[in-house]
Amino acid sequence: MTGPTRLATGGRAIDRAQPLRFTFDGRAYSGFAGDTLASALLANGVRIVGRSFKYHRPRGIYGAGVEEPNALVDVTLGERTRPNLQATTVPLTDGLVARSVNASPTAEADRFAVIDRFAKFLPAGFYYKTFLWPNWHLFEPRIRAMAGLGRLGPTPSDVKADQVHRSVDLLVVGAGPAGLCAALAASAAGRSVMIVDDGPAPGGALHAHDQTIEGSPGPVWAAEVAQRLQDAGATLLTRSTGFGVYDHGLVGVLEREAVDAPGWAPERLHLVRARQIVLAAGAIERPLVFPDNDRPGVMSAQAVQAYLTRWGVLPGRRIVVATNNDSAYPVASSLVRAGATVTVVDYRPRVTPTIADETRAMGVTLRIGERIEGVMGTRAVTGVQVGATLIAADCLAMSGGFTPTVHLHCQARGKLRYDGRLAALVPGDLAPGMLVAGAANGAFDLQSCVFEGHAAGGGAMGRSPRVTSRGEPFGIEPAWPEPGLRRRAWIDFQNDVTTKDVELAARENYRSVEHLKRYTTLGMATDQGKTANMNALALMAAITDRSIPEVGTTTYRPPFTPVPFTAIVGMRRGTLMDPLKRLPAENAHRRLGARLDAYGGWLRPRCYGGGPDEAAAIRAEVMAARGQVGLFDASSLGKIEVLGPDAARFLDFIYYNTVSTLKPGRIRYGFMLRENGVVYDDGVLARLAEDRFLVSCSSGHTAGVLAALESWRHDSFDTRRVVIHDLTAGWGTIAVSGPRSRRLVEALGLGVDLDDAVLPHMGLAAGLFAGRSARVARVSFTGDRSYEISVPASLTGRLWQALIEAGAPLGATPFGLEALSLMRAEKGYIIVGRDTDGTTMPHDLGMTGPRDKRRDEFVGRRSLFLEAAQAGNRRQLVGLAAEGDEPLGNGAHAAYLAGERPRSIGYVTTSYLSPTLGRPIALGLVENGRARLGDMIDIHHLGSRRRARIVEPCFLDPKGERLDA
Amino acid sequence: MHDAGTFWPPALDPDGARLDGYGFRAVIEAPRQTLISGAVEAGLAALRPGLAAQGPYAIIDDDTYAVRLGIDRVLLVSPAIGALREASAWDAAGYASSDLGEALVMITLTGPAAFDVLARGGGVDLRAPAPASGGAAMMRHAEITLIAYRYRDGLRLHVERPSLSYLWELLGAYAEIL
Repeated sequence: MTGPTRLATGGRAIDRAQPLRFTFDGRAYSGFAGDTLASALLANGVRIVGRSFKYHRPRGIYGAGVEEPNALVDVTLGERTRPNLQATTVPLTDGLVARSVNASPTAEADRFAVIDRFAKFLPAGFYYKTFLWPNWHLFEPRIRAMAGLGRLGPTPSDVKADQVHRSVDLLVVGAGPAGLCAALAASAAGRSVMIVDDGPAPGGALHAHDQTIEGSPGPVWAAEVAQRLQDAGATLLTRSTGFGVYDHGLVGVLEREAVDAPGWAPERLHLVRARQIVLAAGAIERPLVFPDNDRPGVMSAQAVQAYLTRWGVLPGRRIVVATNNDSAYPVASSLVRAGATVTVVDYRPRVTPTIADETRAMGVTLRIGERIEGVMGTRAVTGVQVGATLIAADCLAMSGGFTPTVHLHCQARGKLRYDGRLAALVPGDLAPGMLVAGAANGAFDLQSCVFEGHAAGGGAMGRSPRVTSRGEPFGIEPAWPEPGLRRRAWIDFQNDVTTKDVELAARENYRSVEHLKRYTTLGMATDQGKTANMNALALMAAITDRSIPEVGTTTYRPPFTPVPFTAIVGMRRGTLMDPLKRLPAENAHRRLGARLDAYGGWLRPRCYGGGPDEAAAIRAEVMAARGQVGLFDASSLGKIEVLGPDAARFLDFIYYNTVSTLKPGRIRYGFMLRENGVVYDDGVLARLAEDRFLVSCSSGHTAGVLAALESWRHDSFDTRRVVIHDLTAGWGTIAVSGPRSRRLVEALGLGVDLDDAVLPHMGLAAGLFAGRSARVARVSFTGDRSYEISVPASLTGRLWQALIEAGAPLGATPFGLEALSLMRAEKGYIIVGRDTDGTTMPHDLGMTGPRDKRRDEFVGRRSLFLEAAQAGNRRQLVGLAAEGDEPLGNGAHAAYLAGERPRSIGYVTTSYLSPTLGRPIALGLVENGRARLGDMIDIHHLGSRRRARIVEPCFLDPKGERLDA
Repeated sequence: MHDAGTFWPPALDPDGARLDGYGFRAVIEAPRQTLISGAVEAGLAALRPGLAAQGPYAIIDDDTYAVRLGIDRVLLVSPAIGALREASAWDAAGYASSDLGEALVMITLTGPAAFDVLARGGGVDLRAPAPASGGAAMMRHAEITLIAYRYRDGLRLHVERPSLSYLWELLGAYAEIL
């Protein structure tokens, strides 16, 4: 034995040969392999396992599974602490350290227990009313500090969690008799099957009862069926809960204690797509509602049975069993056989005579037609008040009926109907692709479970497994909570909601169940209505003189059980958080001391070296590139080839600019618009051959441009005459820019004639590098003479190194994204998304030609002629020459003051201190900016005001002479 | 100053990279890879007469084969021998071809957990019966795009070179638990 309530024999789930040690609230205990933390605590006689959320009342274990509302614990194993676990679902392991939640220092001796004495001042919603004056925010920090349950571990969790996608023909949620029969039938029909159950072994309720299927005891049959299923290729997951149904039938299944590897969370998240789902999740026993029904020792009758049968734990020696149905009688019999003194209090006026006779014959005291009036004892049950009689007792097992576990059915938009015969809401109209079977469908007897499960799995009529039991009458008569109780009786144990709270909500007109839930917190948190909802609905119905169906239910939302954030995050953390793309020459940049950053989904050099003064390093890169020659890795720019006889016509349609007039070997700058006429991307297009174009687009837009091209190709073109190949990853590109760039490219010996007459600005030539294809393009993002050299990706590092070495005598300097951006700004070259916004059209950027001249159709054309597109107050790209030596703030507002009320007429999009010009420069989008050229405006930024003149956006070399310098 | 390069490890050098000794084995290889779009049957007939494109569910057992990527797109994989036509081209027969040998890196996965690797990043189970169309090998895997299909007793993955480091790190993480 490991504790005062552990029986000398029995307990199907435990291995008495394997003792385990653990602590709870600092005290050492022991249990056995196969125990849950809850069963081990009960076995050790631990009555108080937590404190209630609001009143800090002592709470004991109520249930035996995922329905447990009270026994929430923080569990530490090794260096990892997991908060708010249900003790009933935590398998006991050696060295486990558990702490109660919402208690200080321990659940046994909680210093906040005094709060319960002031309960009358703390009704539902009290803080909505109490803390209004002078200001809610005055109280909020303290209230928030008191709120919450578990505590996070002292160190941030940095573990990864496993996530697995699965696709099956049939997912069965629940491996009780119904679920197993469904899986068996489907598997026999050749369907791929996955079956999940939150218990440690398949069988569900069979483990707690003495029932026979196919001539074998229930647990034995379940194990045999599970083995047959696995032999047939089915997947069986235990300790796994189907917690949510999401779009398109995706089911989330959390498998607990599944992974045992350093640095990994023990949970595994399964993302299951099934052609069909069978929900066989069973039913949850409801509490009876009477004064002080939350005392430690008041438990679910089925849980008491489970602890006795599965873990050899007899929670009391003098047990009162309270019920309004027949299901509690087998429990009473089991308890008597285990040596307990049992009194059954049956709320019903009549009990089936045979049941009553058999029960009495076992020595059970039977009190028919009576009710529990109260519970004696504060820290544990010491007695039960039945009518005028006080019965000495140390445990009260209660059954108020069963609530089918329909959460997933409802999450999938299945409907419910009220079944008065069962006093329960059961599935009505089913959700597409989902069937419900067994107790979840209101079939509470074994024969029906087996039959329904077999049918749900597609089994033939009359071929379901044979059940040998004498039948399980149910015979429930509702014992719903009634209004008007003078003492507090709990509806929701976890959220401390009593009948008085529901009555208060009704008085204050929170009669809708959704309002009731939010006003009282009923059914929130891990409970999700598992034990509380039906009693609450029934009480609200009684108070408001409505039926239960008229009251309705709240919306069921995932998750059904708590899911750790680590499981949701999975492996998407640290360097796996973001699938950044890598440049083919990244490591060459690293060797040069590049500082890297994420730009448009790529890890790219921001600048090179520079020590603590990065700005100085960037300025130096600009000056070197402007004065001698700079090297820039442009490999991330999109390189999409468009091929086919209709390629030119296709690109004419895609681009704002006409493309078809481009000659092979020439390049053109262009805009790509959205259908609404707004600029989506800019880039250059090169015509490689009559039927072959190269579309270069922004690094971060490549995937979007590709998708748009494919979309339009399929939508509006003959796909047999134009195709699109994304070759971005196959080519590395190094831009060589500056007055000495031609000399450097010549030094490479690419076999390209670099004479400006042969290869002018916006020209393209083919060459060879290291015996492989190379392309040389005369395009410039800096405004200086530039060459973009593209080679097969694997040669990019080699090309880079060759340029560094050949460029050393020429003063070649690598430059990063920041220097490039600065040089672009000096030239007024925009960056789409930075110098444009969600309204910017090409004519706002000064490019009006295609709109005015083109007569053919292109994407976005129609939108360019709408009234709004031609309004006089559009924000247009301008330059801003600021007074003073400091650059303007990025995002600073431009305010117009000339005789008008000051208002924002635009904002700064790009701002730098230009090292080339020695003064601040800025680009901005300013309302009707082109007409305001020369005007002085105020620039407001973070409380300061500057003056700036509106100028042309090109600050450097407006005639473009440097392009051929 | 902030340097993301200290957060992200250096990019993987694919030459000789392999993961071994786990539930799966991953080896990077460099065959010839050619993208054919448009009239793919005509393209295959011209480039590899007699070859038919296969879907990702079919078990491929040849050194030279074509796997379907989309409705009018296949990837032709063949040993890296002979002259290479690097430039893309449109053919009068109605197809275009591009060499993707530089764009894609091929990883061969073998071992008992090879298919479990695929299940970590996406919902496609290539051991399941193939759809009537035969399916296409382009799929998303943990936020990146992969070409994946059955090859002999394992799988072959093709990933764009810029995403190789990420995928390789993912595979390394999978290896810890598979």
